[in-house]
Amino acid sequence: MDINFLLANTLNGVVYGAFLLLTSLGLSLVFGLGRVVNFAHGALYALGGYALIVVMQQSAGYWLALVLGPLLVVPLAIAIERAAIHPLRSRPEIYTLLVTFGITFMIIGALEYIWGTGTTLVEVPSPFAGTVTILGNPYPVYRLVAAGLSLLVSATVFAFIQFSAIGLQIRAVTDDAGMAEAIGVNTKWLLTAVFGAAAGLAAFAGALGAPIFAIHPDMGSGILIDSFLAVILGGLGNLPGTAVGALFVALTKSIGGGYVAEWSLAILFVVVAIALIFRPTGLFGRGRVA
Amino acid sequence: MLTLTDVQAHYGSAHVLHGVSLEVQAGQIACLIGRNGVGKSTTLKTIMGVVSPSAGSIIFRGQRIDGLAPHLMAARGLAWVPEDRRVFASLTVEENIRVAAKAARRSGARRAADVLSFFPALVPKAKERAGSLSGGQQQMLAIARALASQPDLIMLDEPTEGLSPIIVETIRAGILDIRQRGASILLVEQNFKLALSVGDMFYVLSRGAVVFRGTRSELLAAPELIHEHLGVAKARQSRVSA
Repeated sequence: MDINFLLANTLNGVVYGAFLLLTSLGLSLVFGLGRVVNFAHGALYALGGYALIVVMQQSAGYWLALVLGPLLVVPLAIAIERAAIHPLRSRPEIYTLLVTFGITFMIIGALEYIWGTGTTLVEVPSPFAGTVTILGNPYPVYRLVAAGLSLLVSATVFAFIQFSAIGLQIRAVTDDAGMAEAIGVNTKWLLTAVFGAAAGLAAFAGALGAPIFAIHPDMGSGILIDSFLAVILGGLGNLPGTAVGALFVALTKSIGGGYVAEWSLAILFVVVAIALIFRPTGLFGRGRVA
Repeated sequence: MLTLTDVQAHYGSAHVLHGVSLEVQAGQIACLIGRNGVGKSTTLKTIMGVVSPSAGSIIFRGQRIDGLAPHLMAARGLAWVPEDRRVFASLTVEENIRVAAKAARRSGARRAADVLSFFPALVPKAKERAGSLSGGQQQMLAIARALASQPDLIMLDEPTEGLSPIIVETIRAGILDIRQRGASILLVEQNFKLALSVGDMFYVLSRGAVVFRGTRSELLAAPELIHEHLGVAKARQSRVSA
C-alpha cells in the first residue's frame, strides 16, 4: 500500500469533510426545524460560487468577495422560503421536497443562461497559493486554510445553537415545534431566518471551495447527495451526529474513491446502507415529536 | 379573566365543539370535566389557538383572542400544559424553563430557580435532560415550564393521568400553590376526587357542549348528572365528597 497516496486521500477527505459539514449543518437545521427536505440546498451552494465571481468582477478582492458573495444569497433564500416553502408548511414533507427540487432546476437553468454550462476557475488567493510539506509530501496550503475556516464557521454555528437564546429556541422547535409555538416561539419566523442562514452557510462553502473545486452550474449536485447522506447517517436534525456523518461520508468517499474512483459513490451508499440497517435512526438518531 | 361564548370547533368535517360557554374568574380554579372524547382537550387547544374555532368568541383579559396564532398567547399571559406533557426532551430541565421564560416576552418572567420552587423535587434534576426524567417528573416540569412566563391563567390538561398517588398529591399541592401565588387555573381532569378537592367552579362537558355549570356543592347535589356524564357511581360519590 502506498502510504503517501493514502495520506493525500485522507487529507483530501478531511478537507472535503469540512466543506460537507458546512452544507450538512444547514440541511440538518432546516429539516430539524420545519421538516423541510431542502433539495435546493446544492443549488444555493452553487449560487455562492457565482456570487463570489459577481463580487470579484466589481474589483473586489477574493476575501471581501468571500464575505459579501454569500450575503447576497441570503435574501434570495429568504424570498424562496417565504414564497415557495412557507405556504406549504402545513402540508406533508413531500410537497416541500418537490418544490425545492423544482427550484433547483430553476436556479441551475438561470446559472446556465447567464454564465453558460462551462467551468469557471477561480485563482487561489495569493498568500496561500503554495504548498506545505506534510510527512514529506507537498499539500496545497489553501486547502488546509479553507478547511480551517470551514471548521471555524461550523464551530461558531455549534456554539450559537448551544449557548444563545435563539439557539435554545431552535433546539426547542427541533424537539417539538407545536409545543415551542405554544410557549411563545414564532416558529414561522424562526424557520425563515434559519433557512436564510443555512443558505448563507451553503453559499459560503461554495465560495470558499471555488479555488479548489471550480465553479459550474451543476456543482451543487454532488455535495447535495453527500450532505443528505451525512445528515441521514448522523440522525435527522441531530447536529453533532451530522458533524460525524459529514466526516464519515467525506473520508469514505475520498479514501474509497482514491483506489476505485468509479465506485466511490457506490461504496458510500453501501457503507451508509449497512450503517442504517444496524442504526435505522442514524448513528446518533433520537426520537422526535412530529 | 377568560370567557368562552358559544365556541364551536371542527376537526376536518367532524364537529367536535358544539357551542362551549364557560368562564374562569381571577384567582379561581375552574374544572372542565367529562368522559373521554367529549371535547375537553379540544376546548383547551381552541383557547390556545392550536385549533381554530369555527364560531363563537374567546375573550381573555378583556380582549378577543380567538383566531390568534398560538405563539401570541404566552405574551398575553396564557399558558398551557398539554395532556401528554411534551417537555423538550433534548433540553435540560433548566433549559426547558429558560426557553419558555424568554419566548413569552413578558415582563416579570420567572428565573428557573423561582419556578423550581413550585416543585422542589426538580431542583437536583436541573442539569439533566428532560427526556431522562420519570413521567411524574416530566409532568412537574411541564407545569413548571408553563409557570416560567408568570402567566395569569394556566390551563392544565389531565395533569395527574397515569401518575402514582404520591406524585398526584405533589401535583395537587402544586396546583393549590399556583393559585395561592395569584394565577387562575382551568383544569381538565378525569380524577373526579382531585378535581373536587381543588376546584371552585365546575363545568361538565358532554358531546362538545357544557351540560352543567356550578359550584362544588351544586355538583354534588346532582348525583344523576355525575353518574351519567362522569361515570361515577352514587355510592362512590358519597365517599368522594366525604
